[in-house]
Amino acid sequence: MATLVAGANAALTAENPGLDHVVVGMGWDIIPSNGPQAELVPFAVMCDAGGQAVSNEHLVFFNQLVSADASVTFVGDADQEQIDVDLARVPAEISKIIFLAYVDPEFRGQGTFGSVRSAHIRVATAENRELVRFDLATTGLEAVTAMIFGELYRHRDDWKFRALGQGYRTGLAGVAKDYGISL
Amino acid sequence: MNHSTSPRTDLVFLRRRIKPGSAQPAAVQPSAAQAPAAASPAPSAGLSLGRPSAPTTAPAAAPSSGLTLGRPASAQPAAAMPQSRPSQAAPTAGLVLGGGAPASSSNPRARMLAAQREKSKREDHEVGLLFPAPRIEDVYELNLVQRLLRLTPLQSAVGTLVVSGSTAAAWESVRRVTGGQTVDGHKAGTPVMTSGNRELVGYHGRDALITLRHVRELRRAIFINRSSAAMGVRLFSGDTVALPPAADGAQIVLLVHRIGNVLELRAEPVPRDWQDQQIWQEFDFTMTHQAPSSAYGR
Repeated sequence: MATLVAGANAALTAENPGLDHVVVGMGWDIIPSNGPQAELVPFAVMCDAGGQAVSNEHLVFFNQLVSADASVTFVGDADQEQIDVDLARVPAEISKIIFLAYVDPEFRGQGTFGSVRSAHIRVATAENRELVRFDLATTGLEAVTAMIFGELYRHRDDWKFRALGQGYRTGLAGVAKDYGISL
Repeated sequence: MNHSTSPRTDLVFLRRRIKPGSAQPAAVQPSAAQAPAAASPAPSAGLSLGRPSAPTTAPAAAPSSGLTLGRPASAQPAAAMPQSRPSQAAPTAGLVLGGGAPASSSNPRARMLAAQREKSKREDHEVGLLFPAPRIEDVYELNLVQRLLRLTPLQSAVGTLVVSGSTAAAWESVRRVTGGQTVDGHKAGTPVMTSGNRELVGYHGRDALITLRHVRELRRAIFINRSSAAMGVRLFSGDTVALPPAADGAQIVLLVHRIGNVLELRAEPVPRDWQDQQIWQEFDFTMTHQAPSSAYGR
């Protein structure tokens, strides 16, 4: 198992011959509150070679459980959000899949990543053997409302993972603008 | 001692185990007269100990609702199997229930994935059955002529659906928990609290809200407008739609109804002089009540 820092990448299929299926797990702790609290939503975007979302059918989240090509599946859980990627089924037009979490833009005060602790993203095999892990720095995020945790991307014939930890102050709207998602 | 070769069938508790080595030839090698029948594509409803014949694809494609003790027939030729999965591609001699079940279906994770895909497929099918409806971007006002619009899965799930100008709301969750509230704070039935410590449907100031992060807990909600001003619906994307106030003896009730992973917004006319209870009744809302504090655990 390798632990990455922001910006670092790791070869997945080249280092693990035969790997055709990965589970991307995203986790965090929210500082508990008796009142309304920030709610993070994990989200995967399948992008083309231009780095844009192929379509809104290529988004995977709690209200769209499977991508249009059935290669990416959301497996929600109360404590651990997981997204299953069948690498062999990902269409050739998809050059990368980004994994992010946004704070739900709730009308009654959405909160920020300032109340988030111990955020991480991990990539594991289908048998839950952890391949790489990235623990995000969660300090100084009081204004951050969306965060790209990492991305799976094609490198020649292989798949690699890059740790990112890129925060957005503009929330899901900012991510949507950058990746061409139609809200 | 009597060593009979025939088992005692009159004693049901006696079983005779036959060594596989001695039993197999008789079971696997059909006689010449039986061979065509074995290759026929008739569905097998019973116990089959033979392997499907390789060159004939019809038997493999035939539905088998019974128990198969042979190698599962693969629709893919062996040469086309990816070489990176030798362990999975290895023959899985053993018990296959249902004939076509993949070897990985015994894995809990694979079952969970299959369940998610099935759930998604069901939802897609449910939404696919709906007749075409305009999107919120295409509609300025929901009224007696243009009565319906449908949100996308993303619009149905992000942020808050804000209904301004309503004077009362009622909701029903997927667990049939039903409640109601008026804009001036009167409540009936049971509120539905979400994990973010917010009500699934409720009022914030004079705006009625649906917490879309938990849209999957919502079955439907209605919004009543007794004022002389229009009602408005606003999404996170900034898209809005209006509903006119009561006119000509009719008032418009906004029905927000979840179908699969999309929300449908409908303008439903009801007589202007109906009270809230009559409207609840018309929409089949029966307020649920929280049980009083029980004596258990004292």
